[in-house]
Amino acid sequence: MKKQLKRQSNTGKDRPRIMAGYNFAYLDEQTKRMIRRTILKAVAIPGYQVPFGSREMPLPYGWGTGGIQVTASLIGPEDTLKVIDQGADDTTNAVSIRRFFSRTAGVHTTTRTREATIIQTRHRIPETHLRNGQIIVYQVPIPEPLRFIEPRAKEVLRMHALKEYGIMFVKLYEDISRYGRIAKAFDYPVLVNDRYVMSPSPIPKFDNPKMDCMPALQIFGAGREKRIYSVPPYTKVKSLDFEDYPFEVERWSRCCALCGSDNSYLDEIIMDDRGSKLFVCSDTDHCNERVAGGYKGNQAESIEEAQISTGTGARKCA
Amino acid sequence: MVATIDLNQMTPGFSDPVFNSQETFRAILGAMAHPGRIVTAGSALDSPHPLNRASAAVCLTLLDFETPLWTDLDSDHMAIGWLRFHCGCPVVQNPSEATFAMITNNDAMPSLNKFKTGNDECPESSTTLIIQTSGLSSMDGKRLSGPGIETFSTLKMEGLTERFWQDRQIQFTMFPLGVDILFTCENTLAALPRTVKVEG
Repeated sequence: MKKQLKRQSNTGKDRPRIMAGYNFAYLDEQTKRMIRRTILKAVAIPGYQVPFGSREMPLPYGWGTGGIQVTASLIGPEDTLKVIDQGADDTTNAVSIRRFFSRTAGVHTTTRTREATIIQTRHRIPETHLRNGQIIVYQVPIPEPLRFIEPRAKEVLRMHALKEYGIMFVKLYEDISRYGRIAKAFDYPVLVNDRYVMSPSPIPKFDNPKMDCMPALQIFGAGREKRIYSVPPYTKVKSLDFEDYPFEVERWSRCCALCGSDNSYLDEIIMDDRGSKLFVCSDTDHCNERVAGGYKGNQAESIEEAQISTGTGARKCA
Repeated sequence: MVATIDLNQMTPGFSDPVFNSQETFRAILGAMAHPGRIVTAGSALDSPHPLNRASAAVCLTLLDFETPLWTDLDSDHMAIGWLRFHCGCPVVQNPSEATFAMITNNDAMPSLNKFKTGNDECPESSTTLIIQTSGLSSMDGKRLSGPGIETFSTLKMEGLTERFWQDRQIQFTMFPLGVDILFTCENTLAALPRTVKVEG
């Protein structure tokens, strides 16, 4: 086990071949410099959205163009890249972006959170605690937390400048008066370093507490909206709430059916047309690692059998 | 009038611009995300006097035609020719127009409020200062705390005036406005972003 977790050497012949005809990591050097300057500003002003000259990328907006541009400006030959989409390493978006960097930068990719130096993510933070030295890059569709409350960009800029966030609390209060609780379940607004209200990107609110004082550097890239923002390591990130309605995360009455984990974020999978359901970890690497370590959920055997009888090895095909 | 550049005196920049600037950027980012941490940069560079290797590497990594530079060197100085040749950056006379500033003589350094500190709506439109120091060490010195620092870190920057620290103290209260600073010495650098509280 320990041997497997050891970081692979990135030198030698085992490195993937770089595609000819492109600069290293696809972007030209001037673009990288511009994005690098933006990232430094973002780190210096935690939670503030810094505008940047977002480029067209060879994939549509909404598929992680912002995250890819940030990763392309960070990545070097010594890096090991992990890409997840909703916690999974094996979904289309994650596979495509991993392949993109393996082709254009020749970097090693991994599915193991511990081995990665850069983790690009869409909509989740891995369950495994990130360590200092790692960088997590979020793909962000709408960076402005106040967008749906105040659509005028100029006005929103002013509100951030004046730290005028009362309207956000009104929005949360309206939830309480209507539903008896704060109904926002993802993209739950946070206050960074006691100054800027920030969108954590559409991660479930379950992941919000992981952002607080995280040892890893967090960088957020929004390609269509042309914004980059950041939370440096060990920085205070507070989910907005009220004294009498404190912030709470989702809980499940079940454990993961595969690994038995009772503290990870679970995906609900519909098993047949009679309504049977299965709950499994959304973070595939976390789940696989637990299964490899001998942990078992209550349905591990029946799923293994089903996989053998249908001939599939993929975990989420069930 | 733009002074001509003497190419016979010109030392080379990065031997591999793509990978060397990537490596330097990650060093700068590591320093910026961990204020007080000392990182190495530009070890292999042959920088023009009086720029140290780390300062030269920062310029090669971050400066280009979009980033006006202010420096305390004379406009016909060899080092300015080197920066203009390798980075292509405009050199400005007024610190308040500069995106980056290179300070080689700390005693004669302008007050921090002479540089761009941004405005309330665009705090990012501020100057990043590269200040050359005669010594950088984390053994003792100023006590730093804030984002990027778990508890506190210490950083000793030699040769900075008392007036500089007074200016910095005033700027700290202006957050999110203010300048970000990279201190360099030989082939090492450390960062002091505007968020960091300095004591001692």
